[in-house]
Amino acid sequence: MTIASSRDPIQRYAPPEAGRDELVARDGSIRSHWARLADSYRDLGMAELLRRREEIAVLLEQDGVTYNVATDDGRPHRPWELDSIPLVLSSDEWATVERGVAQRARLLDLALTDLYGPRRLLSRGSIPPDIVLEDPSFLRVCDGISLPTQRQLVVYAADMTRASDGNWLAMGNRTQAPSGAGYAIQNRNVISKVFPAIFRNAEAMRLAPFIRTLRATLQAAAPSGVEDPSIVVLTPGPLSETAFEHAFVATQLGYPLVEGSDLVNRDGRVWLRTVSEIVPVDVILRRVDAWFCDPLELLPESTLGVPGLVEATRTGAVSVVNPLGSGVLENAALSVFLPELARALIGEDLSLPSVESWWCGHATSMSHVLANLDSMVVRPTSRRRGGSTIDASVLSKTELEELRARIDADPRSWVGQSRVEPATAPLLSTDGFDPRPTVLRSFAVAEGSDYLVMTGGLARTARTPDRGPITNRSGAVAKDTWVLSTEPETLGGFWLTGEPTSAAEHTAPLPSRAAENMFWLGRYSERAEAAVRLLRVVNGRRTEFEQISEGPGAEALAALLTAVTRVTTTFPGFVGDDAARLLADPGEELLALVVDESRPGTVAQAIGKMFDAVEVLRDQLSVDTWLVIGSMQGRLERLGSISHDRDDAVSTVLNGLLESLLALAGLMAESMVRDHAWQFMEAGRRIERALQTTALVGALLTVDREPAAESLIAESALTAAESIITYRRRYRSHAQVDTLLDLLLADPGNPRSLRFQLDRLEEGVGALDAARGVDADASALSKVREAIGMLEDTESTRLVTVSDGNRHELGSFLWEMRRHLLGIADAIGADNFTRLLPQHAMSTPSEPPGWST
Amino acid sequence: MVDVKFEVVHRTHYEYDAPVSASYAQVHQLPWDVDGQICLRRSITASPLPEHQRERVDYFGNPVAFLSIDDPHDELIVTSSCLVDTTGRPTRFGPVADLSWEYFSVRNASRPDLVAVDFSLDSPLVAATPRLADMAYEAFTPGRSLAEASSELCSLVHRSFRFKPGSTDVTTTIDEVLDLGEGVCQDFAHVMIGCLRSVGVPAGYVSGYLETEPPPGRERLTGVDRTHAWVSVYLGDGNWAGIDPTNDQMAGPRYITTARGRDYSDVPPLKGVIYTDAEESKLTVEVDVVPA
Repeated sequence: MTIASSRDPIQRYAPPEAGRDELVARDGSIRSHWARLADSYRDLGMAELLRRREEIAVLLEQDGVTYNVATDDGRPHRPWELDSIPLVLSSDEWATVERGVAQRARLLDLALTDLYGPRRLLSRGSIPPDIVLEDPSFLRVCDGISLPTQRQLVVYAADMTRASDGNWLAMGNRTQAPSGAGYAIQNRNVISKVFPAIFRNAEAMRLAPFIRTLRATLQAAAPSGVEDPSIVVLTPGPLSETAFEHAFVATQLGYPLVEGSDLVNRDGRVWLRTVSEIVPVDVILRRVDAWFCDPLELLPESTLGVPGLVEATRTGAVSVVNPLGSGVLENAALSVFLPELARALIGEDLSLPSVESWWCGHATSMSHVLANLDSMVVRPTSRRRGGSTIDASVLSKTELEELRARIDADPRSWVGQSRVEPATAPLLSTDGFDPRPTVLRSFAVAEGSDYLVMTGGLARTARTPDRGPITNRSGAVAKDTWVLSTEPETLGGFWLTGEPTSAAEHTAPLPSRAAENMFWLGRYSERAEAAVRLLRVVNGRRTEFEQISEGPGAEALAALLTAVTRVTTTFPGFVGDDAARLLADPGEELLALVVDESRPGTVAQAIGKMFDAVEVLRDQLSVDTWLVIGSMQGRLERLGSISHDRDDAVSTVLNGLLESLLALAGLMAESMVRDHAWQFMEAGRRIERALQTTALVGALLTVDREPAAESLIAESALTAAESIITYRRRYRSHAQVDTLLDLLLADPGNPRSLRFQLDRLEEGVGALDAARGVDADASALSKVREAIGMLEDTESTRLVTVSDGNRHELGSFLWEMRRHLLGIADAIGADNFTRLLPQHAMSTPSEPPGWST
Repeated sequence: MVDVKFEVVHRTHYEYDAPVSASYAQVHQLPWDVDGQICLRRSITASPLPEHQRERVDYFGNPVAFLSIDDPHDELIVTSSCLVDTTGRPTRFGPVADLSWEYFSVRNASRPDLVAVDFSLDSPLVAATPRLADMAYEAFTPGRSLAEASSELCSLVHRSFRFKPGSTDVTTTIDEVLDLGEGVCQDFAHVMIGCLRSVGVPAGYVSGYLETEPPPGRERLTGVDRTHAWVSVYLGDGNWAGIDPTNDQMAGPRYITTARGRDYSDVPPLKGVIYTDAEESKLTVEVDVVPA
């Protein structure tokens, strides 16, 4: 046993004396509900705990879990960080929290219903009307709109902190489009995989009922009369902070993930653009803030929404969850009045009180806040009015005065909250458990007339013991949350309980945009693979011939280098004005063709575009995709640091990339259902391969050379086209052009040949046409058949004729064929992908209304 | 008293240099029984024919139409027409406004009247500022009646700004208008609303029409009238008084109200979203207000 493994992770654990700690009681003893768990972690030992911490990171990377933060380099992904140790709550503690969260949800729901209805709370003065009427999140255009569900507030999240007396306090309400429930489930998936025995023995309550209930409530939210509603999850897109979660939740629910541009308003209702048609949408689970949801009635510049969405919810043609306008409940000043509202509306006291708060719109409250400013956390009432939460206790004298002036100038916009030192919970560091301030977000979803609270939640822990916000933005670490059960639960998976499922009827429709991204995923992954193969061949030839300046070897190498430029279309390269110098010393240019992401045609660019497509397709691809993508990202990052004289390193990287690309291709071939999405990816791949093969042959073999050089070049072409073994086995000779053309162009049995690609395209496009119910004459299929006809009508003996040192016939055949292939690609796009015209606001009179006598 | 009636035709014509695949529009061009006027007939039509069109009443009580056109088109014409009897539009504030203006200020209200609060808070285009308050206090001296103070403020705004078409557009802020010293009726209205709110008096923006009289001896031309905007001062209990700082007069029987909001952004006569590659669009607005 090593020293590290014998070390007790808890021995050194010393929480601050003044505060509350989750693991250790004031007297230093382990809290009773933690006792058994603490022993389990001790038994594992530090070395094993650290090993498993690595495993967590690997699993998160493999699942592609990210939280996006805007960065300068344009790739904003921040890997999700998850601590090994959960936040653990006893069932008794939990009962209070659960009751409190559900109660707050019920209360806020009643407030929401009133605010967009009779507004009695305002006219009676239960809530000072300014608070609501001045909040930009109070959407007047949504007045009078309601969902058919019993509760209007469908999803609710409470941000909670445990105070030093052990009681939980609500710090804020999330009602706009609460995030985190998906991350919480993902956290659970990972922790239960990495710590299976500990998790099993702890008997933590399961999270599955939350998603199940959400699905049931979304169904119930459908407009009346709709029996089998069509439901979508609306995301702002892959650059959104919580894009991972949007796709994750969509996948868990089994509904399509869509962007605003996937939807269209027609005949007063909302439709989803799929490849074959538009299908009606009945319910939208929105992860887009309400302001962005409708450029007609809300923010005109927004392209994340659907014009007329508000109108469609008004007539009840579509249900939006949470309803547009629910964000007003996040107003910080509202919390001040919740205790009175609770008594007035439901005749109860709050089980989960809010942190003590003062709205500066009341003179006495403002005096209190200003008098105690340096011990306050100051929040703007509404997030949309700008400004962020300010911890006044860390401000300098000048800053305090500035803040005082800001509050004084616009008191109604500010709320003061007493500072609460969050309870600490153990965070695993390399030395053991460290006590760190920890907060919890808890989630509730409407279930009939009541709410179901997720038995767990998203806990977040600060990295350091310092004060400061504990948020994803500030770099906090996530924690799984375990609610220990007193009695064993009846188990039920996501799909197991009481819902009729008939998979065949419920294939989620494929949005046109997703189809287009699948097509480009196919094209870019094939393009990357072709470039990698060609560069490998060239690298090999360099090793053989670079030191030789004359003869067939040198001629072949030069031909290959110029072909690289032509095939990858990375002009000027080896054919431009600087060609002589580059041909003499090609290392730098070849490295650039691998790593330079800004240059069209390079490997890095193709892979970058592939990643972009994958981001958008999160809900379409198998989770193992992230395993491959993650490793490719790592390889590309390592590439950045390679110097070009290390060609051995380049070839190692190329081999690694090829391995990943093949793994990806294998995954697509073996793990994807042959549905529409797959057909589009396959079509993209086939077109690209046909284009690459014809480009390769054109660049290498349209010039007649002396036999030795030609044989070398032909062999290289066969290697780059992954057909050299077949060729040798079949022809048992050195490579010759006529037989090469047979194998690479005409052979229907060679999966790398042009003919093979066209045959697959004929099948695939045919299948897509059949699904759309269109006539082949009018679709891309007719173009595929033309290309096949052209290939069949061409005698390979004619193609090899040489005149003036060139194979003109071959050149013009390939040119014509490429024209056909590009035509097929365009036709597939025109047949299936919606090209959206740019969105504009209608112009208003340049002279605004005006009249003077 | 002779009945005053107007027939109004308001035609908005967009021409694009490339096809528009879809248009969605919201139209506040429907007069109703408000401010003493009676709407006898009204309609909105569009060409091409909208595949969806619906009329409703908005948050502020105004009729508003939604329409969407989903077939490709390269021009869009929205025509609203109405017949309105404006005989009953008051030419004076009425007795309640003889009370001192402080009585109407929300700052002194004991019980919140939601309409008063809504129309006294800052709105997207009109915020109370010390600069506007200074201007307002010239007219709003302590104890003065609301009617007198408002009329004087109206004259003050009228005198302080030059009416100049084209000097501003819908994005011009109040501060810019104050610096510029000129504007159009929308700016006059916004400035006066801002002044009123700065002293706590609730005020709204009214969008509508005003009958133009041809110069003496000339015939009435068609299509030369314009939409107009003025100010509504809130008198409590759902009562409003219309006053026009652009022309320094009460919004009497020559005025026709189509919609009242907190400012222009609540009630633009027409706003919309289109999808097109068109770089240019040509917009022609023709309004005819004809005595009937």
